[in-house]
Amino acid sequence: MMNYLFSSAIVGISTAIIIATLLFSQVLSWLSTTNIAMLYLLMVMALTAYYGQRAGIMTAIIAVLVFDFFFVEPRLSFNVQDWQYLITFAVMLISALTISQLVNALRQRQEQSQHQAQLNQQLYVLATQLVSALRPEDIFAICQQFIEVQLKLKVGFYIPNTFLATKEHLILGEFNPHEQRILDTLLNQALNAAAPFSAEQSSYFPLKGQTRLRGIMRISAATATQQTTLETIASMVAVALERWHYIHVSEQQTWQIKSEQLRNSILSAVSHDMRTPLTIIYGLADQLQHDLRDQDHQQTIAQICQHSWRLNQMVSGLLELSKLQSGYVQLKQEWIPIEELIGSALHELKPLLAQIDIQLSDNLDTLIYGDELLLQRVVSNLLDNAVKYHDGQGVIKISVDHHDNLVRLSIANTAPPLSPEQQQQMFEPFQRLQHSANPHGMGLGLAICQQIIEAHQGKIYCHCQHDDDQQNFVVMTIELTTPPQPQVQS
Amino acid sequence: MILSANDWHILVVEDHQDIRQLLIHALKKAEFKVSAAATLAQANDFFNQQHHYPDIIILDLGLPDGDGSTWISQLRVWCQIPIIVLSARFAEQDKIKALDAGADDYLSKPFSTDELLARVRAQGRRLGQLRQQQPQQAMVSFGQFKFDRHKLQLWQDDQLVHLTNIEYQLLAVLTAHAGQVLTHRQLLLAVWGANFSEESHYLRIYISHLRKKIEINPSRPSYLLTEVGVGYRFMLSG
Repeated sequence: MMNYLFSSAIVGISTAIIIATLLFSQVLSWLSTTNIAMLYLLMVMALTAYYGQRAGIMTAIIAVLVFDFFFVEPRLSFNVQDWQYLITFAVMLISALTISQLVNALRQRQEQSQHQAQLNQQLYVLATQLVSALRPEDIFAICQQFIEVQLKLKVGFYIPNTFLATKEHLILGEFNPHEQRILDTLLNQALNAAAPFSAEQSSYFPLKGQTRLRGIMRISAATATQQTTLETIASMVAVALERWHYIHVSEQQTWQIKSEQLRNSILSAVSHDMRTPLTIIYGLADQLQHDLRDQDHQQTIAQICQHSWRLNQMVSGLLELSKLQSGYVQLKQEWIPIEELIGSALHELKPLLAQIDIQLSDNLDTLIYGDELLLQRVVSNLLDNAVKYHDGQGVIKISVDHHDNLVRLSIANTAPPLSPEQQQQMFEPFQRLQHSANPHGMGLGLAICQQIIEAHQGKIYCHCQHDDDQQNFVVMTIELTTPPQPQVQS
Repeated sequence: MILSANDWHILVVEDHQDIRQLLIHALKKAEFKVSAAATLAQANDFFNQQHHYPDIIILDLGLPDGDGSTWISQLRVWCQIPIIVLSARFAEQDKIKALDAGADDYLSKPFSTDELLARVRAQGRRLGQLRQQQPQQAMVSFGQFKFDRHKLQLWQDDQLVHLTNIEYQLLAVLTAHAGQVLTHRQLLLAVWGANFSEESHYLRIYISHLRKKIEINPSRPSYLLTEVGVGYRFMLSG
């Protein structure tokens, strides 16, 4: 290619010099030799400008030789009589060199800017394509196409799932486990301060979004001159990914709000629709209990009352649990004396507690910070559980333990020991202990407790414990962290 | 004139027909005079006719033609008629809103006939006092206690029980509304004043102090009962 160009330059130059020499030889009679030298100089300039630096130097040398041979006395020889012509030769040569240098620099710059303009045009097209991309996969495909076609390079992308609103890692190209580990470490450390770097013939460009680092673009065997372009592409990809991310997040939120509204309206419709007939059944049965006097009916009706009441409790429990699980429960946190929570629970379960010895610890004045209604549900459910599962002895111990900012409330009942698996399983909805001869309810109580305590950022757990008489107790403990106890002046 | 129970005219405002029937049946059986309305608009009609004027209202909070709490506060501007609201269990916010708007008590669905009648009778007693323009007795007694609200003295049998100033005021407000539920906000306003209406822990701590002095077993109170998530209720009968 280069040789072909150069040989065509040689042909061009030779032709031009031959024609010029023929022309000049015709006008020699009425032009001085100096002026002919000027004409050669002009020609050298023109040819340099046209053919470039190397051809320019060659033209200058040939022009000097031809001028010397044909026009300088003695003619048709390379001898020079007048030494002053040496200066002319030198000037011609230097001018030719200088001009060729200048022209060349100019041309290079022009070529460069043309190239740059072309690249900018391509980048602009890339940017418009990226804006219209709907998914990260499209962004990758557009970018891959551009880099492979325009820059003749291989590209890879690595975006862990925590860096964009995606469920899985977004990966284009092959990343070996070792490489992935290194990139993970880097991404997690340098949140938005990472700079491009090279390793093992690959260059890595961080995808820096407006708010944070979004991932890494890998280019195999990139040259230093492509660095800037690749950085530009990396930042365009980062912006495009981030744009997708925010649109996606806001869409998800809208969708979540809508589904939450739907869930709530279904819940309230169901709760209303189910409770109304239950209210009527319970109310009518209760009235019958007052109206009918004979013993047989009394018992039947008492059962209707009891079961419709329990059904109502279950419906409430289900609704409560699904509301808690939706994660949209707003806590109305207040300072509550633990004694009051326990007192309300004891009052609520009064009919069940007649035969049971309830032992309370003495530091019940401790205040706990939480939602009264929800915490009262927890204490009631735990107490209800203790009543259901206590064995014969009829002892339930309630104790409170307060250290620094940690408050523990434990409810213990005598019962056969539970395996660690059972202690875990009991918090799953619809779990009831197998050995229970008389299972009540649906087993939602502890699941509800767990949801409530988790909403309070606390812990709830079960363990077994022996007392001095080798009697086994199943202990349910809730553990809440509280701010410093408030001071109230008397 | 002292009204006997049978002369009380009770207005039941409930949109669901079967629940309305249930209420009417239970109240009629207890020999009250009962009228019924399915909407707030129908309830308003009763106030336009002198001879149908109700004495007690039982109001469902989920009526189709308006917000029950707003209706209560409009009524309270000019009328002291006792109002008992009906609402779903676990809908404590609705109850608090209605009570703060001026309702006197609430009943959670499902309810038993006994609960319903106890609530209505408690309001009837209050009504009796209102109608007779009878000043409340300064002396009130519950269990072994006698409380002189004028002199601010609490006697347990023959022993004077020492209460702090705030405890006296709290007990005075509670006994003045015996049998009725008082919200946290109402109690805070009455005893501590407007600046403390959100400081519910003041109230809870003083209630627990008071329980230590008047309850045999403060963990299982028989006079000063907690209405979870709503407020407190003082029962003279224990």
